[in-house]
Amino acid sequence: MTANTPTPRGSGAAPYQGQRWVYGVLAVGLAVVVAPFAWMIVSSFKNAQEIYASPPSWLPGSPTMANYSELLDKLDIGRFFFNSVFVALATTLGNLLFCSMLGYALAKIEYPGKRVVFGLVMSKLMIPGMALLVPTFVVVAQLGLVDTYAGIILPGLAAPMGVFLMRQFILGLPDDLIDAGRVDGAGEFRIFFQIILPLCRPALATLGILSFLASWNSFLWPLVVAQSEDKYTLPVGVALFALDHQNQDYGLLLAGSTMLVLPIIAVFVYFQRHFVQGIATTGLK
Amino acid sequence: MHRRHAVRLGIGMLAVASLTLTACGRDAGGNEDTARDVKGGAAKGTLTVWAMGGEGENLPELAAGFEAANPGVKIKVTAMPWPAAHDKLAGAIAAGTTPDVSLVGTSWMAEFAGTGALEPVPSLIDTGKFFPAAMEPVTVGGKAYGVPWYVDTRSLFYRSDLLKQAGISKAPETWDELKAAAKAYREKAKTKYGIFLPPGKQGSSQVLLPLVWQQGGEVISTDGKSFTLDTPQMVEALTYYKSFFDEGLAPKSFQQGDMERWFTQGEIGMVFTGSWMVGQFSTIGGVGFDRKFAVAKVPGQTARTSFAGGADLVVFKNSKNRDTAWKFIDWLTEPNVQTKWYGIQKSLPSVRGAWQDPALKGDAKMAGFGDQMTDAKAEPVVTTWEQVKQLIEDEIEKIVIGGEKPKDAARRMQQKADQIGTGS
Repeated sequence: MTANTPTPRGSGAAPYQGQRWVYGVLAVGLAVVVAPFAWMIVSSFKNAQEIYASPPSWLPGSPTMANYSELLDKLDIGRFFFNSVFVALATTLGNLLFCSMLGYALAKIEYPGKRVVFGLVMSKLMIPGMALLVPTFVVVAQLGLVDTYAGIILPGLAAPMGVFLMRQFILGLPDDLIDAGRVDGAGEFRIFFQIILPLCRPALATLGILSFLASWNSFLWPLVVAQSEDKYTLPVGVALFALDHQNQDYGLLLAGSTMLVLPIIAVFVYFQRHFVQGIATTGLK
Repeated sequence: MHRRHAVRLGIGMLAVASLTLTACGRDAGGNEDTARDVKGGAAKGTLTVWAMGGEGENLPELAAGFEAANPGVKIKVTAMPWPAAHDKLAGAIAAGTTPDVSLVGTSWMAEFAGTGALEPVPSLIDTGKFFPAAMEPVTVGGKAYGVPWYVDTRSLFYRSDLLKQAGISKAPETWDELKAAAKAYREKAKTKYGIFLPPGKQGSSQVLLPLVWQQGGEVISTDGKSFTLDTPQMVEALTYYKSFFDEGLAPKSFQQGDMERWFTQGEIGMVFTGSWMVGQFSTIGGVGFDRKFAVAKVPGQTARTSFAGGADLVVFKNSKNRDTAWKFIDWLTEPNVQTKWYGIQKSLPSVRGAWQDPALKGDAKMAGFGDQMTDAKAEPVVTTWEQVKQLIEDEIEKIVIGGEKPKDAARRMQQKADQIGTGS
């Protein structure tokens, strides 16, 4: 209760006491978020009996690699992993380039019909993805892109959310910079690549992480487009063996999910600094 | 300014929406299907086959036998996960990128046959060799559009060790005996609950429907044009179902995985489930657990009808190699191939003759499922069934958890189902 007692202004202890209270709340929140996640990783080393144990156990009584070896044995994990990385990187690069281009065009260039274009982009945000699944697939099939990487990557190359994010960020950049570039005789592409893009780094980091995550976790679309197993991505591959018609093999599922999630953590840790900065700057306007 | 913006936004949305609609607008396909004969001679060429889950994983092993017997034939199996397989097939049908042969869940048959993408079953396949309950869902508008590959049905799993402790010597055969057994488990064998029944939501309709059928009731009219949910049999079934919860014999809430744990740890005595759980329970229960439970035909009133499901094989009309496709399916449904498949995948044979094999006949738990299949029914074959099933399960939850009256629930089921219609 000491945390709630008001402390005199200017006292050195005040921020610390305030923080202790905040830390307590944060710790509880963190535990709620992390506990299931930790259980997933720990339990991927358990056998079926222990996974079902009641009350749930934490540490595996007899740790086993059986789930992993079964998964690796059944799955062409190298292939699925390569597909996932390739698709996620291509999607991320595409989003970084096209969303920022479109965002720039919507934020800083004046041309007739701009609002209609923006309206179209926004309306795409409001249509649930499921409703667009079959029509998009029909278009992809008519382009002859079924069972190709291009078919998996293309439809997600300029996500409306990303366009919106970049537009909002670029809107906040001073026009004077662009005008200065124009005065010096730079063309639109030069302005975009040399002035705008470098200033967008925090927003690009945010967009990069979001795009990578979305592509990495994507399940339905890669499954629908891929017609042969050598085009499957990791989530599709893991679901293939872990989820059966009637029953789930939780051991396989936990091991598969752990393998699925580790690369994401690596990406996030690497980009974290930019990511946090991106959120902070976006809020500054 | 804001207003104009909103109007433009609306126009944009409309434009996109209309694009979506045109892409979806595809004619449903003619109903003038006639089953073409399959030409004699050797099977040849390449077949692409889509199969889900473990079936897709293990089919190549089985199909090697067909390839060996038919030189020059190549079976290319694409395995895919069960979740979302329906969407993948729907997309492929819309875009015309279907394989030659695919495995489909029984509940999708009405929908896919309705698109006109499936070939009717030719006379090459003797449909009389299958369980009648398995032929029901593949028959749409009086014509068969698919062939049952394997079946599943719900039987009564019970803890035989605890039942003996509770002083009962044989599995319950009637509704009254089932109720008495549930009480005995709880009171004499000291289990926490007598029986596990889904308290609404997923899976509950698959336990409730058999209760209607067991009294001779039906949930759809014989012409398949209207639902019959507000019947005395339905009210009776709901009342009986609800009573297990009201008397504390069945748990009102559970988490994924609880049922498996409760059954193996002796916290419940009985559960209605399918053959795949025999292996699952034995794994979770550990060494020797398979001697502690048994499988019996579901109890009944005038009949002991259970729920039948499974998966079917279909051939798509734009297959370039349909003769070989049907020959392959014919081979897959030969009794000895079906028992071989049971050995590999533990899927129950859809062909009655296959059940004479010692691997099934000699296994007391498995043989029970074959017996149950002779008295089993499939869900109605109408395109709107998934929706209707949902609303039935919502109503089950309302009476079990919300304490509403079975009579009102049955009336509401009928009203809402009438609004949805049967899609024909």
